[in-house]
Amino acid sequence: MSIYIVQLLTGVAYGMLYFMIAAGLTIILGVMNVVNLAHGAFFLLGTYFAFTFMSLHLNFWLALLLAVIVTAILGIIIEKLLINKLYGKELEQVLLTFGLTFVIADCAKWIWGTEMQTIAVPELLNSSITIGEMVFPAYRLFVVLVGCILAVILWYLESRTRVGAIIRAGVDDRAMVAALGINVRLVFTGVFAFGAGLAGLSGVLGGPLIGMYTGMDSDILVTSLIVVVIGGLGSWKGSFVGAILIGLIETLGKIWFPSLSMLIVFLLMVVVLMIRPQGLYGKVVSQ
Amino acid sequence: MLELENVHAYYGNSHILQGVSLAVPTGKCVALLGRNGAGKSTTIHTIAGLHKSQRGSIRFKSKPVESLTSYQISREGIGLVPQGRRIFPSLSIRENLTMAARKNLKGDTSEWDIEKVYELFPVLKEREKNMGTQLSGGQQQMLAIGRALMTDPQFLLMDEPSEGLAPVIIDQIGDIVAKLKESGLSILMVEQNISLACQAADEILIMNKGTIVWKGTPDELLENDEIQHKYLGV
Ligand SMILES: Nc1ncnc2c1ncn2[C@@H]1O[C@H](COP(=O)(O)OP(=O)(O)OP(=O)(O)O)[C@@H](O)[C@H]1O
Ligand SMILES: [Mg+2]
Repeated sequence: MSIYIVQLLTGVAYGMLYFMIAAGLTIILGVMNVVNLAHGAFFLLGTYFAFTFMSLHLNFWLALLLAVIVTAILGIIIEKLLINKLYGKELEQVLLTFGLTFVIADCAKWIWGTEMQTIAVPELLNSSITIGEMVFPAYRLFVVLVGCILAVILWYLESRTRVGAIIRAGVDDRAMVAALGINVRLVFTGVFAFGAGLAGLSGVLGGPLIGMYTGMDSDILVTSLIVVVIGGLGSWKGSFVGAILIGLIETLGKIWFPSLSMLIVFLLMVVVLMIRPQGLYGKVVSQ
Repeated sequence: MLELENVHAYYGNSHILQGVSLAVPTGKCVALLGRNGAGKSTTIHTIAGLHKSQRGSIRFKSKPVESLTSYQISREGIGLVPQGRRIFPSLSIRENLTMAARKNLKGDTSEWDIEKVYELFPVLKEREKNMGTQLSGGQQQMLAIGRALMTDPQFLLMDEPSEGLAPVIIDQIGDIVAKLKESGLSILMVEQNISLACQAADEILIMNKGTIVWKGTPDELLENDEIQHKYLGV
């Protein structure tokens, strides 16, 4: 029994990583109407940047901060230079962001090589908490905590600040927001950078759990797209629930049916879509 | 204050505005009348920058604004009260107002803030925690006007403020427009309701098939049955 409880923690910790990346993906989708297929690449870059900063003898926390900032800045550049030109053109956006995943993945291979690497667990958290027979690694507890704090921050930003109100209004009626004197383009850039930063954060925090390897960007992208679909397009709250569900199912699935865990994740998506086509927290869109 | 000269606008291939020229003097209210589909909203949207004109000039306070984006036009001092109100359903009444608030960059106090809007429309204050869409039609119209005022405009574009409202409420809207004019705002108001337009406006314009076909005072329009019949279907 106790092994399962420990595995539950692992599942929730993975879920929190998925939440951090899916939250950005779903907010970008809801606000900007862009399916950012390059979002997995931001995750990958977050990990690799942190790896580089740490190999320059910065500590984990500083590396984390810098990696998130650099990823967000890269998000700003990509939005300003490329995505900016393609608002409203869905097919072009898909091609662009899909193309970007290859470009970024190849650059990563070129810069960092293809060897599997990991980021060491920071010393402060390199311990575990024992309750009875159960041993909980402190780092996983920390990841869960960060995910929960992030959810609270997102809730606060969305419902208690003017920027949050502007973003919600932008989802309702973008042209009207602009007609009230708000620079919607600037809001878009900010949202995109925020989402990229969150993906970077997920990547760094995932470093000690998942490691870093070629192709992790597309693995994580598929998982977070599933989270977004299950949670409901544009709803970060849905992503929170969906991500934890996926994290748990994937982890427990690996114990019970090692070869089928991804299949179970897809099955969950199918079941959710059959019962609630708009996702757990999605709004019903009337065309 | 606002001048349009020979403005042309299209939707795809259809030529909607076919050379619109009009002027709204400072401190005046001009009403734009015309049948459904005449191009009144397109005129409003073109001024507000929500739709781009192909030709012609739009000047606000003598400054060309036709190539500005809609948020820049709003910051020049043009507030929009759109047709159908377009209240943000995901926002509370208070948020609908505060999200539009313009911080006055020069530091001097702005003409309008949330307290002044609540003073003008006390009912909005009473229900500020409610969602915008829980209001009645008339209250939503007040919210749309209040929201535009929060951007601290010198000029208001109002697109059919009386649409879908009961006659008593329409009278209230007339009083509000009079108050706004007193406060120094210049107004371009699109209307289907002739009596509201004639009560509120200093000058009447009639639009038909994308051009201004008649211009006069409210009294001249009320006396002219032929024009009313021909262009307004009365
Ligand atoms: N988004 C659009 N795309 C294509 N055509 C449009 C669009 N909006 C309006 N039109 C067309 O432009 C013409 C003018 O429309 P507009 O909305 O300006 O009329 P209006 O005078 O405001 O009418 P109403 O009194 O019904 O509001 C109409 O023939 C309409 O069908
Ligand atoms: Mg109209």
